[in-house]
This record gives sequence, C-alpha cells and structure tokens, in this order.
Amino acid sequence: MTLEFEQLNPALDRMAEELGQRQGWQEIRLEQLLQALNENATAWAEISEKIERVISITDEKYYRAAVPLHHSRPLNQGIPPTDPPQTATIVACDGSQIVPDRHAPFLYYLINVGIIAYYHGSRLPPDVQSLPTLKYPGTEEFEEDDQFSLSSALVNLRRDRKEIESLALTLESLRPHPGPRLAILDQRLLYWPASGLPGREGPRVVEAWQQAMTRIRKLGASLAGYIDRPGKRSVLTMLDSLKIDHPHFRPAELYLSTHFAGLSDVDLYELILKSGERSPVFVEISQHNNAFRASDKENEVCFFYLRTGEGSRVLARVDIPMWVARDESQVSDIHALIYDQCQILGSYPYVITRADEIAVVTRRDQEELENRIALRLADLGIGVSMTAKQQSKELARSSKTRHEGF
Amino acid sequence: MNEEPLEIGRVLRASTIGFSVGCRVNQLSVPGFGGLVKAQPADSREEIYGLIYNINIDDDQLIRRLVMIESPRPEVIEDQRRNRLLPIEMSVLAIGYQRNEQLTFGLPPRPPLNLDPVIICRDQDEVTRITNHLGYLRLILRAADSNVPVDQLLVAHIRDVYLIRDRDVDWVRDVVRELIEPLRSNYDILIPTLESLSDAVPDLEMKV
Repeated sequence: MTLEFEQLNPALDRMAEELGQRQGWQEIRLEQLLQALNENATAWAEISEKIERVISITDEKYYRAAVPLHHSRPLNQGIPPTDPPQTATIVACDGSQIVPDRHAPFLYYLINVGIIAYYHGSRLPPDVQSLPTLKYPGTEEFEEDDQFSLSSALVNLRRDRKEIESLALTLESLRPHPGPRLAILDQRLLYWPASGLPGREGPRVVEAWQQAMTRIRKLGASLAGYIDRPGKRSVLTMLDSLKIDHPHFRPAELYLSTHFAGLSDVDLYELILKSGERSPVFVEISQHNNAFRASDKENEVCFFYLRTGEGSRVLARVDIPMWVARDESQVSDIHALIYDQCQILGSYPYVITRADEIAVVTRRDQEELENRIALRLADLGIGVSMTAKQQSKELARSSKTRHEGF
Repeated sequence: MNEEPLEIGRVLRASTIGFSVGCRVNQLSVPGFGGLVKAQPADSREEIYGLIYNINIDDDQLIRRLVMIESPRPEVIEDQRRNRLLPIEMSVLAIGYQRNEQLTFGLPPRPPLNLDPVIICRDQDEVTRITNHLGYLRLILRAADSNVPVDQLLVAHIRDVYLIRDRDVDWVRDVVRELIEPLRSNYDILIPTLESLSDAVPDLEMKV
C-alpha cells in the first residue's frame, strides 16, 4: 500500500506555513544576535564576568556556552588562513560497524576502522589501512554484555573508542616526515555518550577517550575533531548570557533551542566568515568539558568555526584540545592544513573522505562476511539454519557478471 | 633470451572466446594493446593464450570530482593510483592454449577461472614458438564482426612481436602474406593494416 498523500495535505500546508513564519522569526533573531556580537566583539572582561555570573545561577547540567580563549581577535571578524606548512603529516580516522542482529542466523558484531596518513607536500602516496574487529559470543567484550541488551548504541561507543585509540597507535608508527603532525577525527572531541546506556561502558569509553587524547599530546601531535555543519549554539548562548542584567533575563530559557528560533552558531558565522576564514577560538563551557578538564586540564575542548569553501552550508566546527588551542601557531597550522584539505575536493577534507571510504562496511561486505561465516561453520559440520543457508546461497549467486564476449 | 614471468593481473571473468583481466596501477606499466598474454592456472588446466585488445580504466564519483580540480596534488594522484581499488580491466581475445606442452591454436576447451594469474609473454623463445604458427592470425580476423579493433590490434601485435623477435622482418613478411589471402575481399581491414604496418615496421617497406 502506498502512502496516501491526500491525507497529508493539511499537514503539509501547516508545515509550509509554520516554516515560513519560523524563517521570518529566525531573520529577526539572527539580526539581534549579530548586533550583540558586534557590540561585544572585544568586550573581553565583560564577557568573562557575565558568563561567570550566569554559570553561578544556571544548572551546570544544561547550560552550554562558550567564551573566547584569546583576547586579541575581535569576535565579529574572520581570520584568514596562513600558508600551510610546506610539509606535514595528517592522519585521519573514521569507523564503521555491523551491529548485532538477534534475528540473524549468526550473532556477532563488527567494527572497522579506516586510517589514512597523508604526507602533505611530499609527493608520496598516503599510507592507508583498515582495521576490522569481529566479536561474537565467546569473545571477551561480547560476554561482558547481556547479549539481549547489546545494542547498536553500545557498538557505536566501542567503534568511537577504537577510532581514537587507532589514531594514537598510528601516530606512534608513522614513517618519518618533516613538519607538524595533525591527527583528525571525523567527530567532536568532547566525547560524551548518550545517556541511558546500560552498564559502565559509557564511562569506560570516555575514560579511554581522554587517555587517548593525552597519549596523542605526549606524542607531540596536534589533534582536531572535524564536524560538518554542526548544530552547536554555544556562541549564541554566550551572547544571550550577556543580557544577565536585563530585567526579563530568564536563565532557564538559555537551555531551550526554541529560544534561538532553531538557529545555531553556524548561522551567525555564515554571515561573517569568507571562504577559508575562521572564527576566533572559543572554550566550550559545559559540564562535560569540566569533566574533561578535571581529568587532564590539557584536554579541555576548544573550537573554532571555519568556512571551508564557497557557497552556502559550508561551515564546519573544528574542535581542538587546550594544548593546541593555547598555541596560536598550532592553531594557524591546523586552520591552514584543514582548509588546504578542503580545497582538494571543494569544501570537505580529502583525508576524512578517504578515511570514511576505507572504513565503510557496505551491505555487500556484510553479505560476503556472513557467507564466509556460513562456510566456516559448514566446514566444521555445524548446522546452519535454512534461512542462513538460503541467504548464503543467494549471496554466492548474486552480483556476478558475465564475460559478454565481443 | 629467457625472462622472468611477469604477472600483470588476474582473471576477472571469462568465456571460451576471451577473458577480462583485473590489474593494479603498478601492474600496468608493461602490458599494452596487442600484447601476448596467457592465463596460467596453478593446477593442470590449460594455459590459455590471448591478445590484449582493450584496456579500460574505470572512474567513480571521487575521481570525477578530482578531475575538475585545476592541478591535483601529487599526493592525491598517488593515493588514487596506488591505494584506491579502482579496477583497471584488460580484455583479452583467446588465440590458443597449451596443455602437456602441446600447443593448439583455436578456442580453448574451457575458459580460465576467476583469479587465475595472467602473465605477459615477453620471453623471446616462448613468443617465437607461438608466433611461428601463423594460423592464430585467423582467430583475430574472426573477431572483425565484433567490437575488436582488428586492424589496429594486428598492427600493434605484429609490431610488438617484431621487436621481441629481434626485429625479425622475415616473420613480418610471412605475416603479411598470411593476412592478404583471407583479407583479399575485405579492403576495410587490409588497407589500413598494411598502411599502418609500413609505418610501424620501417624495414618492411624496404624489403616487401
């Protein structure tokens, strides 16, 4: 039965109308926020003082804002990229997974991490590797879990952990190449799992994540998390926090996305940044970042926004740890190298595109893997359910092409 | 003159009349259009000889994007060529097979199997032994009704073998005689073939 579009018509009308109203409200709100940014572009002392006061009257659990780290660049001006270092090593990492399916003939999960070490300015081919891990009943991590609660969220957590640990491991074994070394993850640095996960896996992964960050610092490398079109509104929250002395100021409203009409920081910086320019560096203010700082003060997460190319919707957020953020030359190198990477394909870093390509587990890969599992079991005389057997036969017979002759 | 066997790829798919070979970029430096190759199974099946009549290099979305860039970085080009698994595919026209040292010209009794290694034939003794029997040329001519560029394939192959056989112009002359008969009624192939051959094998013009 196909979708009955006629039934949806009233809802579609309402949706279009409400989006139109919302857009009008967003334009007004954005204008207000831009004005606030312009008025406070160098009000360093006032920002610090007022944010401190807001922190003291808001719930740490929900209040997420930002403060500028350096007091040298106006907040309403883009910072152009410098020339990238002549040589550098950029290591990027991404992960992919097959989540367990209790209805499938075999219970297992797979994590695959793709890594690329790109030798900028070398004319050398990058080093690439793929690191797959198979877990099944009987393996340690599988047994730790209640198999019936082994969710895709848990596997995603373990994938994230493996990504940053693989990044650190790769940095230890890089071929010698002059210039700075930059490690990039295709996600936020301020890693925090979603609430509601069973067991202690969440805190364990956060701890391992922070340890990996520290390890990368000790290896003398820079670290960045790249987030394409992010939804964070920490800078907007900072700007509205400056109204603390206004009689109608309601701190609890700062937690609500509706307070900003669905806008985020990128909407604001899209008005300011030209291609290649970045915002000043901000320090994230949140309960999670406090925990990161408490674990290792160098791991406190900062960020800047970067316009990665021409056109709209090409703003990214680049997360960097405090040990990088504090050093303006490292920030300049990261800015220049990431923008240089984005120019290769237009507006997205080449190394992240490739790390994703190396990591990705396609549906066809999954079919091939399950076919091989079935064959191994058959070799050992272990019965496979008809469903699995039939599926494997179908897989083996599919996707072959015939030599068409001439 | 014995040369080490050089693997240029493995069989992707096959039929009785030919096969396709998948290879990596770093394997592409030696084989060329018209080159003599053989699928060489590790077991007792036949070795199947053939000529490369097409080399196909595929693209994908990433390549299409990179092509639009004014001057791609050397690192990116190297990455695409050495690391990415973009298939390079060679099509081979079968001309004969060998079993128990017995060489037969004609279509093989069965095609090679997927992943059988494919070797380029550069060894002078082997190439001489195979190309002394000019009957295989008729198999090439039979492909004239298909999409095989027969005239260009003949020229490239003859030029290649001529060089491997130490500029053996007598062999080329024999080949021309062998071709004239079946092509007497097919000037569309004969004339361009002879014209191109006289350019490709300069000695031929002086002596024919």
